[in-house]
Amino acid sequence: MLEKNYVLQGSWKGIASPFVLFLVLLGLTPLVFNHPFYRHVLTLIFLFAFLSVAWNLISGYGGLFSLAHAAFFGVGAYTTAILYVDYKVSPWVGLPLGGILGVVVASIIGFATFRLRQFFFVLSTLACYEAIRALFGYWRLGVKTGLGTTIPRSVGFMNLTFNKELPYNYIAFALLVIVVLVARLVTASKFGYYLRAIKDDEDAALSMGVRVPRVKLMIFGMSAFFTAVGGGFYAMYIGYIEPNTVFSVDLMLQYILYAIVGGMATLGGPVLGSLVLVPLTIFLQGFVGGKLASLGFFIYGIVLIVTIILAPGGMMGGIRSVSKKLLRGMFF
Amino acid sequence: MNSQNDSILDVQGIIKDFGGLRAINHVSLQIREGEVRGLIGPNASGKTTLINLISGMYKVDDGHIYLNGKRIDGLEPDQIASRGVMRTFQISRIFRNMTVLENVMVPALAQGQSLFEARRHAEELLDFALLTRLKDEPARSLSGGQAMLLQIVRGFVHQDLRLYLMDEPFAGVHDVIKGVILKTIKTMNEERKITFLIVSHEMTTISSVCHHVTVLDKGEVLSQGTMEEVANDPAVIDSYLGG
Repeated sequence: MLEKNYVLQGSWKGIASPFVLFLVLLGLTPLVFNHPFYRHVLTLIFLFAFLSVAWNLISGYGGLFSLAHAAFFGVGAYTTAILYVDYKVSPWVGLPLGGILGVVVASIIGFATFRLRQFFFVLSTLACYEAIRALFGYWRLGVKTGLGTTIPRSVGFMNLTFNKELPYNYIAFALLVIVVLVARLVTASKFGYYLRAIKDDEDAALSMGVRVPRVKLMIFGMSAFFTAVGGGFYAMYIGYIEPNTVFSVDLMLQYILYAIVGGMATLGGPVLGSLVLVPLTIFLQGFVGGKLASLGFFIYGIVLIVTIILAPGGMMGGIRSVSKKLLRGMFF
Repeated sequence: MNSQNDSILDVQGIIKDFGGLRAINHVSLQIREGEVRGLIGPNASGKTTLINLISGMYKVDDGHIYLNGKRIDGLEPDQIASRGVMRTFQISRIFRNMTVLENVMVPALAQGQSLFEARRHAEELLDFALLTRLKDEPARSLSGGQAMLLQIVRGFVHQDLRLYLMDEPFAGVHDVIKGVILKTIKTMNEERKITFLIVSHEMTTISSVCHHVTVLDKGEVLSQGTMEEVANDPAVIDSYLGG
């Protein structure tokens, strides 16, 4: 069965059945839960799943553990918000423009850091993030309304502003479906083979003729694009931005954790991780956070340690392992 | 300066230093197209460093390397690979989390083959190297010898392969697999006219497959010629026996 999974990774067959069904059911949940609070939770689940899948592109499939994504998120949030607030540009234009700016930033970071390996790469991405955050924190960057600004609520589709939660649900869900499709397209293509080869042995991939720097730059750019788009959506959804909120390591660590717990380098892992952990996070913030503010992070830490020890492949790894045992029990 | 006309590989006076240590000292080497050249020498004589320099993993500090008359020193390893130079590593560096088949597909895809073509070529090669029954196994499950064989087979999927650099392909490999590797080298040399530069400590094996041998010692070329010629060279005997 394990061997079967390896073969399927390179084809479209792998996307069929359980995961598609899972996504369809996920897409129906806003119709089942009609209370605004539950729908708010669903928006956050879809958005964080989207961000988690985007991060998984470079860090899960590419094996490059990036901490620069907090910067891409912030760049996307500011681009969309500034264009909307100061220049009356529709967020539907601002989102892709923010994504493109995210790609530009990722290219600069990539050129500076791609020769580094393992911990040095991780630390250098964190340093780049800090530099960009500082830039936004201390330099006004031509913003008329100030860096901490409320985004005016002018309800309308073109303004990506709604009175009800349901449109946010489905826009966030649509973003999730798009990034999942792109991730699947990437992994099933030549590009996916290159990524897996680079992750296993970069020097061997180079000597086989794989253009390693180009592959890394492309996947980093792709991941940054989606993260920046997520930042733009977040800004419009929350309705307020300031550097510490959108250039937030805490927020980034959340979707990184969802990918790790769900299962890195898998399509379903980040989605599953978000589905389980976003509600848990909201519960911890709402019911425990007030009294014991740091308890949430403590529980997060426990979840991470338990996952690494019991299921290094995350929930998806656990599910595969259990289903393999069950199948063996049924047929042998 | 340019390369000699009949040389596929022309190494001209290259130098490589690591800090204060000169690993390669003015090494010159010419290999004719279609030749199988052995590269031998005591431990730390610079054999692997030379392979790393030719394949672009290391950059030369001085001197030039020509492939078919065109300079390749200064190019990146992937650019050198695209010019028809493949290599193996002393310790097998296969893609452990990919299947055996996928391992062979990677260089084929990198050279512009479609997924379908790459798969077909990879399957043909695995069949030739008697690895078909393992094609869907994760590469990490292979034995040391099988991993070495896979590493070698992987390079042959390059359709324009001209020069194959092999670093200790027979080390620690079972005799049966060694036989398959030797047969593969001979067949590819005869049928596809691929040129080989093979680093090895195994004199008997080297003498059975190589037309000529180059001996390195302390980063310098000590002797060159047929196996018989270098085996009778007093400098080589002195170097190996530590005189």
